[in-house]
Amino acid sequence: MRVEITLTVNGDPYSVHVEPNRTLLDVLRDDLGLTGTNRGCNQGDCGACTVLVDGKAMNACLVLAPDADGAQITTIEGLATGGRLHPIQQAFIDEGAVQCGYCTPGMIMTAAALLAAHPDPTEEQIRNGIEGNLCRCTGYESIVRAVRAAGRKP
Amino acid sequence: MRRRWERGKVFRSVLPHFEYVRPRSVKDAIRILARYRGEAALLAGGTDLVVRMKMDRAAPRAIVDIKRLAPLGGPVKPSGRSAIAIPPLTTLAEIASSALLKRRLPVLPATALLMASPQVRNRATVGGNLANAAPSADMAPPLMALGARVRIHTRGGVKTIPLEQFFTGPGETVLGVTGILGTITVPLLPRGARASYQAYTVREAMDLSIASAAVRVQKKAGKVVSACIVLGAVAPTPLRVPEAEEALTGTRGTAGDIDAAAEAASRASMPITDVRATEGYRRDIVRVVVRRALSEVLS
Repeated sequence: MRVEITLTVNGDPYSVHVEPNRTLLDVLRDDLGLTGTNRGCNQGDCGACTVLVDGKAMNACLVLAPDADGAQITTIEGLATGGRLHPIQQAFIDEGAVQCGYCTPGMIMTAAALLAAHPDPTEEQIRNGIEGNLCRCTGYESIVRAVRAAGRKP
Repeated sequence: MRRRWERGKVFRSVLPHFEYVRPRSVKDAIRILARYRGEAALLAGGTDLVVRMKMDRAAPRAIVDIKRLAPLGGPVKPSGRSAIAIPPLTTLAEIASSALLKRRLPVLPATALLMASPQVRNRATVGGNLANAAPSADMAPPLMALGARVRIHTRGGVKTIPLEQFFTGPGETVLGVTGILGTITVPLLPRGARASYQAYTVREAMDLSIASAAVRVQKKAGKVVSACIVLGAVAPTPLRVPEAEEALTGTRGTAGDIDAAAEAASRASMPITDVRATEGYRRDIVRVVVRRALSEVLS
């Protein structure tokens, strides 16, 4: 039986009728067409589907859709403001921290949450902070550099 | 819709159908669990349940979302003058960042930080970690070593038992089909007591322990007057090892005393061979983690 959920995604309110067995990731990608959030392992290991739920980084593939009722969601599509990239997005470009790009949206959302909590993180904080995000191109060095660079910006 | 996954495991990219229920109260939740006679699952953080469903290891007819039940949530706070009350819905991230726990029982935030990943810690709850009763559940050994007690909500009413009596087997607890885990109450460390938890994993993130050990040791006038040693991932349940505690009690806690206790713990462990390690390797690792934990608190 479908249930109605309301959620705010990137500042816009939505009301969606969903089967309870769908996940937040399914809703974002299939119902709202926000395909920037990637489906990787689909079991909470890889972090490719990381979004912010009420400001906290979470794996969208592990959140049941009805459980997201009433939540404020930020996806990669909502990170730029007024046509300007978020500093962490710009830093990924500047540091060449994107290779195949599949992990990038999740990696950036995790980094954005980390920077919100620790505006100038140490290398150790960064490495611990992104421990739930896998990059199969193994481009971790440039990713860590990008997060450091974004942190140093005022 | 099913597709084949690694090593013959079935992986569902679409979850099986279920009824999603949000109970109005703890009593209501217990009634619903009873009505479904074991075919309903409680949902807190969901980081175990949803994965188990995708792995085809669970297919509940109903999911009972207890996340919004006030008696199971709220902040970590003092309980009287000598204990701290941890609501079962407290997330691992909240355990890790609790100023009260960091000040009074720092082994618990340190343990939470060892677990999973930031994304999972933002959802996974301490109650879920205990109630799912994985032999490797990281929160269990330190809470047991600290002498935690847990409230149990049942059809017959509410009772409080030592966490030590909570686990009955892998994935099994005294909760049975209709019980719900309530507040976890942890006594503060007495004067002269210290605690440590050491887990051995291959990877630092998203990995389960090969073996782990939690210790709480109290010293008076240079001698160990009490010790509690609990092992993880080397028995069907978290395992208290009185043999190792006796080996240490009454000694001065020298390197030799620590070795003797670690040896006793290793002998008392009952590990299995699985994908992570062999039985013999686990026994060796028990010695290592007990030695590390005792060295930390006795240094």
